[in-house]
Amino acid sequence: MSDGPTLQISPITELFRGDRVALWATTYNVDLDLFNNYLLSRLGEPPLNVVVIADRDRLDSTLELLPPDRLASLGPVNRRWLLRGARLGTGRFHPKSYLAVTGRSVKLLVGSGNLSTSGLDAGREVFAVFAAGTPQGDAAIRTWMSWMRRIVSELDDTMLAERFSDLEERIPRIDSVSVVVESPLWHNLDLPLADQFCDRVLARGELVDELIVTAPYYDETGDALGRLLMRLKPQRLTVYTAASTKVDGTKLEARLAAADAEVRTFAYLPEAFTHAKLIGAVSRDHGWLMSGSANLSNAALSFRAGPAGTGNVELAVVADLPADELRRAFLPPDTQAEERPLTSLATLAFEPSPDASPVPLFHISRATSLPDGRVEITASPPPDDSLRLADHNDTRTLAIGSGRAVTTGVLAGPIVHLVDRANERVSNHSIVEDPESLRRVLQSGEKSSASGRPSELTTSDLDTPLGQALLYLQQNVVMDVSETAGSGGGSDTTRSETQESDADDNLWDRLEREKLGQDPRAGAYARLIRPPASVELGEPLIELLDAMRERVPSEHSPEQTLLRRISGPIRLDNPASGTPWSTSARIRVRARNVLRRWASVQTDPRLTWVDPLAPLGNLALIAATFAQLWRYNAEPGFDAGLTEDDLDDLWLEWIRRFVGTGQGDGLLSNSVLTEGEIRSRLGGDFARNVTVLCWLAIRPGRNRRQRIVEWQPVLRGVLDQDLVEVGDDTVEFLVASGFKVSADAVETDILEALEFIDDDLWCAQRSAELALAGLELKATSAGDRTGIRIMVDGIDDPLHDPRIPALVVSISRYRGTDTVAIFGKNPDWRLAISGDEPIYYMASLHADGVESEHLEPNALDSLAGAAGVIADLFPASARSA
Amino acid sequence: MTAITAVGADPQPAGTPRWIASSLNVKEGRDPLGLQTTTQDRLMPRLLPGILELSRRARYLSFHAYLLDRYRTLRLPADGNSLSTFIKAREWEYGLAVLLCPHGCDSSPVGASSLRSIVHEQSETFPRGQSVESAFGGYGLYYRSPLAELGIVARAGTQLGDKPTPIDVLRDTERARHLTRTFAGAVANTEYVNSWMLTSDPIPADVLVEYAEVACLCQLRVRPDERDAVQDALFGQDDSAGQVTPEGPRGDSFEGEADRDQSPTPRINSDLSPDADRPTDDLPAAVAQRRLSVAHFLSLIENEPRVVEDEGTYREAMWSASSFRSSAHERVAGQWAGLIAKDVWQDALCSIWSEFCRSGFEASSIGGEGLTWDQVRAIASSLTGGPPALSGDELVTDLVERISRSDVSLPGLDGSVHEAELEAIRDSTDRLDSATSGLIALLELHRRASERADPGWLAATQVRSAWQPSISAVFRDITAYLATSPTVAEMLWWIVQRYVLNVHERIAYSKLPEHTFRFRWEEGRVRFYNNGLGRFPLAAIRQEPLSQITRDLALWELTTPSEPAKPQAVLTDRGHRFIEEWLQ
Repeated sequence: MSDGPTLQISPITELFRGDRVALWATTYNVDLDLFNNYLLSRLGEPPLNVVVIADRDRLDSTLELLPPDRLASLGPVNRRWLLRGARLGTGRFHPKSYLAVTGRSVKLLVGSGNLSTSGLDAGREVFAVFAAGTPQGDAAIRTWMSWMRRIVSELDDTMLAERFSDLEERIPRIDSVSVVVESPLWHNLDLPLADQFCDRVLARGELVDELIVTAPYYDETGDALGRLLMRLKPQRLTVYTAASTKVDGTKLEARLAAADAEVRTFAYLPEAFTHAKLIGAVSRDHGWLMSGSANLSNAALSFRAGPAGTGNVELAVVADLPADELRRAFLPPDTQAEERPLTSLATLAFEPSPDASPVPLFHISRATSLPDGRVEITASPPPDDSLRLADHNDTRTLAIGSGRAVTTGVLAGPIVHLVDRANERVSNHSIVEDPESLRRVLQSGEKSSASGRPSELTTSDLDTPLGQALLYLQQNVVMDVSETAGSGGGSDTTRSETQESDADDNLWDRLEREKLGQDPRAGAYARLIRPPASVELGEPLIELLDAMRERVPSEHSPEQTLLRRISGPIRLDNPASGTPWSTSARIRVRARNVLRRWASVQTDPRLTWVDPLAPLGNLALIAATFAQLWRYNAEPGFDAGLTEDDLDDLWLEWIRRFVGTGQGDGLLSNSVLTEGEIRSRLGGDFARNVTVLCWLAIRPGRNRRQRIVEWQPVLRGVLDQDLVEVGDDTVEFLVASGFKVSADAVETDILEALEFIDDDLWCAQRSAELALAGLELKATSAGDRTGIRIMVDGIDDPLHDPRIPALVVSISRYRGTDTVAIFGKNPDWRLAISGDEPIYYMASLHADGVESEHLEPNALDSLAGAAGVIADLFPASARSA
Repeated sequence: MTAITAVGADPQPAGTPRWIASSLNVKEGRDPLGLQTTTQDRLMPRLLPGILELSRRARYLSFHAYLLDRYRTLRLPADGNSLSTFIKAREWEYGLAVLLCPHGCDSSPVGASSLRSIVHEQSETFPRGQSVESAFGGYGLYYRSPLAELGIVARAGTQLGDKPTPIDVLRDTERARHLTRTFAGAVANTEYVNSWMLTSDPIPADVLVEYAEVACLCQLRVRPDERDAVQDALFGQDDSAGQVTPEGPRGDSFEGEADRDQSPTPRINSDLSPDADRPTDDLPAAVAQRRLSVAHFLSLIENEPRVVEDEGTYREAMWSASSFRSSAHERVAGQWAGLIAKDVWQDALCSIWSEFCRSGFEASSIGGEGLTWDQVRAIASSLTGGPPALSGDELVTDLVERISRSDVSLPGLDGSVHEAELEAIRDSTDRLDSATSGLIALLELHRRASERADPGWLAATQVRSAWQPSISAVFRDITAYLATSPTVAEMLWWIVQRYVLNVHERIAYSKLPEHTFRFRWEEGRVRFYNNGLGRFPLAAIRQEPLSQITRDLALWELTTPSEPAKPQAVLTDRGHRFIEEWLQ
């Protein structure tokens, strides 16, 4: 065997560092004391997403052994980090993987070591290491994330799913994948690992020279190894063992002796429990090495895992290696391999499963501490009311209903179990989780959410009235649902992969609904919208704006300090009286970005999971804010932070999403409330603010036509939703904002804007309507008739294009003439229509003209209504001209 | 979301498995139950503030003060590295001189282990070098903290005037100046000081011998002026520090509540640790305590001269002191008795710990797996094999009764436990290393302690560590537990559970990545490690420093060999005066 340097890894040093923002582990067993007392403290402070998923039965056995004196050692479990037991199908949950995430890096370790001192530090274990930023690393991490999503989905646990969504958000974006490679990480949810390995090896089409294996556990008779031999048919088999290798050595010896291969056996010296699992195949100078969690058993190698499978859940890593390097990988550092005769295998003994403890009648998969100290459990099968829940001190009856089982009194934990009427324990022990603590650990630190400022704003922006208003909105209502719920489940790749393989994705929707429903800001909408009508949420916002305005050095001296009145609900970061607010052009840019982002996400259906009327509530608050800013802009010496153009622009962004363009395409068209209900529940200010802002958008002045044209479809939607209401308060508000108008003028302006049309607008509208490349109108005189000429771009065959009749009817109505000449721009055909006279058509400028039949009255109207073509009006001989 | 940057290429093909390497450094750990720290970090700094276990020679105080003064007057660079180099070089030369002492004193200087081999070569010249590797040499290790605590040195960072000093400097006090002046006066005419001190050439042996003639550690006791200066440094105070009388020091070293039973949050290495500079306000209390403790030690010499040479004798004398010259004397004697009791408790518990670890390791080796809670309990309960063997079913109250009837002895102990000296009992259990000997020692200590209630005793026995309760609390717990009529087996389990199982793991976890576990809970089972299954030592309790320093100060001397046959310690007139001055 060739010598060479052996690279080693210290998993504890590699994984558990202070800069981690997330650490996820899968393991068969977990050393809770080590994790709580040492490893966790190495990870540093929150925000920190730590999850360990271990084999369910093994975890139950561990908790079973825990004496009452040791319960305090569970302190951080399910409070600072989440522990879950997993069982998919009948096999064990056996993968050993560790994903460590920092703000800029991701590292994945997949190997043989469990989350224990022997697994991560002291034992003979191997790990493959992947780092994001390399093609193989990125591929492995993607596979792991996709695999984990499936695991999480199968476990159907919203707390776990919430943390997985959080993990997806914490994974830094992978920018520079230059090469797409096959993932070196394999799982067995779809295909047994042995199949994958044999397929990979045999795909090369060469004979297998050597199969090399080592593992601590075999099937009793070495059946899985026998299957590998049958499929790969190696010329030679090399087996590494330790005295602790668990297999019926006599039977294995017999099996190998009968194999059609030269067999060599080696013993590791010095003797020590060797937990690494390695399977290598060599053809000539090339090798394939599979490492990971899979022992040499059928449950690990030969069977598929998952809900319908009978195998263990395993993870494996395959590496293509030169043959020498592969052989070297089997030798631990400071260890020798001594060749032994095949008969030496007879000293090895098989050990049946050590976890053969009796299965309890019920299994508690989750126990959650409620804010009032009661405990809710999720158990299988669901418990009935004859059962009670107990910790080590108390026993409580369970209230069963609506699919929930909740104790009727406080239960302190930290672990609970079910007892029957005879006080006999009938379930596993489950560690009670504290959802609030778990969430706090994720949320600590600066993050743009309810607790922070909008991400676009800087700290100094909060020294402006506009910044404070945006902060207030951020803190009191849910403007952007993705800040609470996450991006919707991470990368599209992983989600779609999951959906392909697993149709039931309800868990993720349930998770998001649960998270959004728990957002403390959700309650604001009940106060804002629910009857009786109240604007208590909006008023502080306006008062805040007023207060900010009063602190600006200006001619306006407030008669009373509104700030004092509102200081309760509103926090001012810089309340030193008389301190001038610093304004800058940059806040304007950033505030516009915030408001545009918020506008763009109002149609996110998840927002209604916060509250069905959340979008409407947001609109009401934004309308109030914009209206108020218009007023402040009118005051001498006051810069509200957004210009008039900004406010027009942003209001358009907001309102059109709600009212649409008169085609029933706005959010309000599908609202559960009627127009009247909307107005009554949001109060008169809402209609006034909408009216004011819409009038201001089409107010007389610069670029008015352009604004009217832009706003016309939206105004139609506003009127359709009956949101315009011109009253005295409208006029008062507009006067206060610097516009001296009457109520009639406001109403007239809005209606005129709605009906406004001119040639250019008509052409633009018709072009859009008929999907033409261009339209141009020119007035003409044809004898004693005043006619119109239209230049059309985008129709090749006017005789057979149904848009021609529609165009003719439309122009006739618009210009009140029945004399129309239509010129094609490319190609240059001609059509002349005049009353009931035959239509004259030239296929091109230089072609001979043809005439239609005499037209019946309203013939073109009929054609347009029936989407017909004018070719029907021409003799058959002319139709092909 | 942040973007990932590409990482460097791995030297191995992707997916190649690597064998793991340990990041935990397996070590024995010297204080697995957190008992040494009570002595080292809590009791000793209070009983004898300003004197560390290895700050044993009084003359190093004046020597180091002299070095700091020379460094300043030579205007050498005001940075720590330069000062460190300067001190270590001078300590090297001083160490050579001490080993060449023409008075034949056989003193052991700082760095003696490496210096001895050089001296043995008997060269005509000696190379230059540095005393020890660590920063500031022996000064940094043994004398810096004491000098700072005594108010002689202002450590780097101390605010002097309007800015902090960048290096250690002498305080501008008469005590500090006196200290420097007297050592400087002693060595002023040596060739070493005048021609060799600041050079880097090899030093001729005769230069060092001449230097040792006046500068050796042994010469302090014959240089009255310098001796007074050192004594003043140790037991005096600057005028500004306020007056202290033996009857009423301005404060009590045991007054601090930080690590007494009442404290909700005990601290380790707190401001009471020997390495910390005390605030000026504490100085009078520290000075008074130092005077009282040293005077008490001298008073023991009067009754038992062997306290200067034998730690066992010293312990027993400290425990059994019974004639007092004043209430202050009784108080300080009670404090030291509390320290001794704590050591007996430690050794008794250590015997139980030691046998428990051995038995646990043996049991877990058999099955290969860890032990369940019930198995651990069974092991602890069955630690009755001795010696001496006890019945696990015997009521502890019956055992106590047998001890009090003098029916119980320990192998190797002359007479019964009831009549034996406490130190002999401690020594027996230390030697026997059995759980039953530990239990018997503990029960006898508990009985004897119940007879004490003097203020000094109460103050010292209420001091606890971050890991273990005070012995006062231990005694209370035992009293309460005995009232439940436990059997020997039950009490052994009670002790293991209360003072061993729950403590050791916490300590060992706090020391990770140094793996000092003797046992550990792993997945619901206790796994034992062969990581030093034996006993752990007692912390030093200043027997040697007290002996050496008081002898250097000529507070006692050895009688001449002829009468009596073996020289023994006797107090000098200065020693008597010292006792009279501070204990009356």
